[in-house]
Amino acid sequence: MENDDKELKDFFATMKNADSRVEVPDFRLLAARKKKGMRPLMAVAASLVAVVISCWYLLSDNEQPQAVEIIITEKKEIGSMSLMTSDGTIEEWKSPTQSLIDDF
Amino acid sequence: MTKKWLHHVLEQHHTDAYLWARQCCDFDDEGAKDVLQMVYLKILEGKAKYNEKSGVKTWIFSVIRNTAMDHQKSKKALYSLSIVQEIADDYDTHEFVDYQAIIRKLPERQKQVALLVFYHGQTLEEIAEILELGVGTVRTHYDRGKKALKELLINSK
Repeated sequence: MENDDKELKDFFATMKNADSRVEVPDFRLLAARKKKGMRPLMAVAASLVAVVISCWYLLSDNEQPQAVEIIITEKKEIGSMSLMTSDGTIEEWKSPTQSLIDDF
Repeated sequence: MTKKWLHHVLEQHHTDAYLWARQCCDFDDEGAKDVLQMVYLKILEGKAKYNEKSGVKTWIFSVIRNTAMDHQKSKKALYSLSIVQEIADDYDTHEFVDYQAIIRKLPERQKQVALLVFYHGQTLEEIAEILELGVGTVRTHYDRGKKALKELLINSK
């Protein structure tokens, strides 16, 4: 380095002096630190486990008898079904065509 | 090369390694810690191997520089934000941070060469190893860097 670099040398000497105030982390701390890249992987693995457990729980839940909903609606009777139902007793029963015999 | 020896060598150069990592990360302390941690892992797990062609410090600096480059790429957006904040902070703090602002104005290669020569005392041959460049190219960056830095120092007065 030539003599005309004195200005640069002084500049870097000042810089080094200023850097002596920089807090250097402990070597053992950095050398012992776990790989940061593993953290996201562990998070993904934990999420997968959570999803698997949730699915298993939901599936096992489906196997249990579920509540059955019964809806009763009044349905208009159609066709000859109405002829087959009667509120009366068997003695009171009359043939639907009885009127033909009685009236004619 | 035992793990114990590597551990010893890393510990011996720890302060210089940290300061170089910090310079490679644009004076970002957290970035430097992350980079140095990755470097130590690479070395201690045998992913980065010492070929004994250069000095140990030169090799460590080379691993730091490569790791910092990868780290910078992944954090580019974050860094640009933090730099803006840091520059803003620099205006209202004391004179000891001025050098950071001046150094930042140099082109990347010139900055690295200047720091390695004047700050870390490396030879141009060693710098060529660290930056994976030819000695002639390093010399060019060195000359241009010196000139640019001198101008910056004059302008900052």
